[in-house]
Amino acid sequence: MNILEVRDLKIYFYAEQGIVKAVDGISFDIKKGSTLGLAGESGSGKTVTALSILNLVDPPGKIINGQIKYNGASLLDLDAEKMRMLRGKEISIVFQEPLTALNPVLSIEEQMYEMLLAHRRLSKNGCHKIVIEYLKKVNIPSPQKILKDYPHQLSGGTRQRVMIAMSLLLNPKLIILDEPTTALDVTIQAAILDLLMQLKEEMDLSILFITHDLGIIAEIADDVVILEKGRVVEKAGTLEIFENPKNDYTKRLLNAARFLEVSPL
Amino acid sequence: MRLVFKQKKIIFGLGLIIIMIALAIFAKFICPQDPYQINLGEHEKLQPPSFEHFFGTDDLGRDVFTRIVYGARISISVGFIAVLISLLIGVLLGAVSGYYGGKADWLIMRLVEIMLCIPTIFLILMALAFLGPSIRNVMIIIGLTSWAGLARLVRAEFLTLRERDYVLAAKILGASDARIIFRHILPNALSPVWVNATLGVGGAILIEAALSFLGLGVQIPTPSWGNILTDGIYYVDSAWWLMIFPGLFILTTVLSFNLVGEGLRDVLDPRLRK
Repeated sequence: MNILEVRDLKIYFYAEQGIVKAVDGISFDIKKGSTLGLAGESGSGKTVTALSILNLVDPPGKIINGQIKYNGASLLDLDAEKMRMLRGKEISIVFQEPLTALNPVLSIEEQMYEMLLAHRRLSKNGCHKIVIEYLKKVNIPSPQKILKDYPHQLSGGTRQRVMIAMSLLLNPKLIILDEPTTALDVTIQAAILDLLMQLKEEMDLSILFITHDLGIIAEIADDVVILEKGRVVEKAGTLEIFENPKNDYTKRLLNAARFLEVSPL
Repeated sequence: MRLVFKQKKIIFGLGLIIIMIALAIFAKFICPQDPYQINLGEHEKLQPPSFEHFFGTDDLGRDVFTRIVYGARISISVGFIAVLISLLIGVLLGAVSGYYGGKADWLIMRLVEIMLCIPTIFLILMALAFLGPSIRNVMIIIGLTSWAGLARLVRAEFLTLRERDYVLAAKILGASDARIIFRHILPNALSPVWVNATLGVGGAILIEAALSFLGLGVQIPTPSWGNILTDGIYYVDSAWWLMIFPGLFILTTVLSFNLVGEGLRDVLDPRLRK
């Protein structure tokens, strides 16, 4: 059973200098309850792919071909209001840099309430309860304390935890993580990854994990899609990719990663 | 916030503004005399300043100080309400223009350009000639003619802010356009708006005074700083107090609004900090 099916997706950017084929005919599936790793270097089309799932590709970019099916329903045919209701509630995204993804002039509490109120009619008290519950879920030790804080007053790890809590507030089924740990240092990265895996079990999530770090993919993904210049170069189970890469580009990526792993100090 | 009160300009300007507003609100208690009380006695009209009449009396024997204090009500409320109207229009149009872009943006910006290329004072004079002069019309017309610069300012802020990640994040989490505009972007765009609005209050007071001086603003006998000036025009060489005092009040009030506006700009724009 697939929660998301992407077929022959093409996203072109119409710039003045010509057409940029950011995504050029990619297809992949995410099985319900599984984690798909989407890997590739910068500019290979990872983030645009993620945005296209929620129909958030802005001009000059345009989805010119393909199908995106969520639980069997085509997402690209939804009208704006239905799409808006789906965002956050069924599918949500966590970004790479939590400092820029949080609004600097709203307190944590205000931003999280906003998110809830965009979808549900709730009293302030109701909001408060849910927000506290989810902040506890992402292992923030004393959630009461940070509610009135502004994003710049929190540490990077806490900010990313807040972002994750926020994206889970409405119990989405699919969560897209766009390099969620790149801006964090290694120990916090490990803690966040553990947390994500634990939440995935707890909340029965399916995950699309976007990264350029093959080490993370090895750790958490069930299947892997390798992108290069907007095309899928290889698609397989995680073990298979690491043990027996077929494509040249994949081999080079893996070698680069291995080289870093064994390099002595 | 602490920085705001470290600025001498702001403290000085704000102090004066508060005094003016207090004068306007408590006019009845400060001046027991009636601003409309005409007294044509030979020893009552055109009297120079004395203890009995701080700023002297005018050609109809009315106490100038009383009239100026009551005039503060008109002048300051015209200033604030006109700016409020221009804020409403300017912020809304600027936000729509900057956030949506495209055709809406094109249309609104052409409208702004049209507004900006007609000299405001002539536009106002023309509108008042049609609608007839009254306090209400003056407020509305000043408001309706002064939003263009503000709309441009807000649009420029929105153009940069709409590309921020947190706006995308809000969209991803399903926020509606209205929520994104008013809750997520607008609070980030407000600092230049406050500066502009504060300076705008001073500007509006000045325009009101000019209009009343020309006889197109607040109508006599209702006192406003502008028409007290007009009353004095025939006695420029004999009764100096009729023009000096209302002039000083206009000057101080506009100056204090400008000081606060400039002070705010210094605080809100870190690049201007020394």
